[in-house]
Amino acid sequence: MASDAPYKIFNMGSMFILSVIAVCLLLAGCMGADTRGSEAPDHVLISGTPTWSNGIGQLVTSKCAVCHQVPRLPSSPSNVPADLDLRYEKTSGAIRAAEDIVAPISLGILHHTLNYGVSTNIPVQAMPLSYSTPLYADEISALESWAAGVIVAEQNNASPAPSGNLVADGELLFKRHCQGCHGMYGTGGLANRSLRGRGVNAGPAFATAILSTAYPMNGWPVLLQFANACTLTGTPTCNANQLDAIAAYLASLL
Amino acid sequence: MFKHNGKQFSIYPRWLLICAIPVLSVINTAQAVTSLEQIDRLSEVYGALLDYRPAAVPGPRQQGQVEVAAELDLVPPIDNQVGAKLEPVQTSPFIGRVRLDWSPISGIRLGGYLIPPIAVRGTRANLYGLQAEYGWGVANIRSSARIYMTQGNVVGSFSSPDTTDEFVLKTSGMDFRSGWFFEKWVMYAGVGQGNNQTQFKIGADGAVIDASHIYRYAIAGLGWKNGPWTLVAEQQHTFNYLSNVIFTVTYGF
Repeated sequence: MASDAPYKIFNMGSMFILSVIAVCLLLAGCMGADTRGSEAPDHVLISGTPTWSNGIGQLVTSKCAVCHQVPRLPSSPSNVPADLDLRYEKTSGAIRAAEDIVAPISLGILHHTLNYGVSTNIPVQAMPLSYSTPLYADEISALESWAAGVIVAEQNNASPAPSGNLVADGELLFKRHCQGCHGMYGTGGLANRSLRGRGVNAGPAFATAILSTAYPMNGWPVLLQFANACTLTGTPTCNANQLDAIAAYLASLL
Repeated sequence: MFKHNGKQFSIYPRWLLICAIPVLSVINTAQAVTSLEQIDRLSEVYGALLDYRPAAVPGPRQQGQVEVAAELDLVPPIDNQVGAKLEPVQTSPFIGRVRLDWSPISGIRLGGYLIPPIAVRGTRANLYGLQAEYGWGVANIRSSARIYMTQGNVVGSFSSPDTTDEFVLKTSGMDFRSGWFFEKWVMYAGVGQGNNQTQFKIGADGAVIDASHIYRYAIAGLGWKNGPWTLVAEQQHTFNYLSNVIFTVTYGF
């Protein structure tokens, strides 16, 4: 039976083992996950002066508003500001829009963390977050150029045009310059810095006082004037008329 | 349309279609995505991987039969790039499951599984699943319809090596499988649909990312039965983003 010997290696057990190995190799070749991880993000190319209508709108909408929109998408992080919608340029009602991000951009939020919340130890993370859709270098430059242009325009009092109604003007100014840190009704926002907790609810006199005179900030041994204090965070300085309008708006909340 | 050796040929539409396929493929893969879309897809991939679809041959079981199984779910290469960051997910090369099934009535099979809560490469799963299956057969063709669910979480450092993140998963689904039995072998295939709800809780900043998906899948498997032992290799394909393989060793008594 010596002639049968070469064929014994092909008995059922061996065949099964070979079959399993073959199936394993075949199936292992059929494994894969299309995660979209290597897909490149959009690149918004802007030529000329960057404005909302010239590229910035497209850029902010496609890369920032993915997370920053109201209401928040279920798939976006739960801790995004609840009152910031970057699909729009202009603030509407209680919802802040893209014009509200010029201050943090001018302070360098596209490069590093901002210490807005020095009183509460809540820094504002650099944007975009490390796991967010990245910005290309030319997109960052365009955003900073746009933000600088907006700030210059506001410092020149080109916007907003006074309507004559102090409270209405003050509301607009507050939403543009103050709401980001102090909340939509002065109750604490991005930096959890409630004006009410600082005595705004003491009365209209205080609201005026806090805007026009010195007040202690974070228990610092120095007294900082409102305009200077807010300039620290990059908020454009307001002129006297605008401060009066903001004071009138805050007083109307009491 | 042209003539060759006196015969008319119309090849242009066919060749145009063939040539268009790679072009269309390039267009599709070149589509830019946002980080949220990448996170969402990763939730889909990991949700489907951790889903409970036991790799088992279809068909009815005898009343009172108990099966104990060990499953090895091979994890395919996963690109964890999200935005500008490659998430430091230490993916285990496999997922191990222990399964127990029981047939209280002939044709009905109830079962459950558990992923042992053992840390593998810094990741620990706390997942369990349940299933109910009805099987029937005619001659060598046997089929099963089943429903199943999975629930639990996976804890590990997914977004940063220094923090502990949590991936919470709830899935449910149903599928149909049918197999051809010959001698000790069975070849089977099936289709199914599932849905999952996931939450990714980022430890660094407390952010929570929710996702919900409905997905369809197809399965094809090969089983070999010898006495109380059954070996199964099953290919699962979740449309259109995940293909994975599961090996199962089952002992019935």
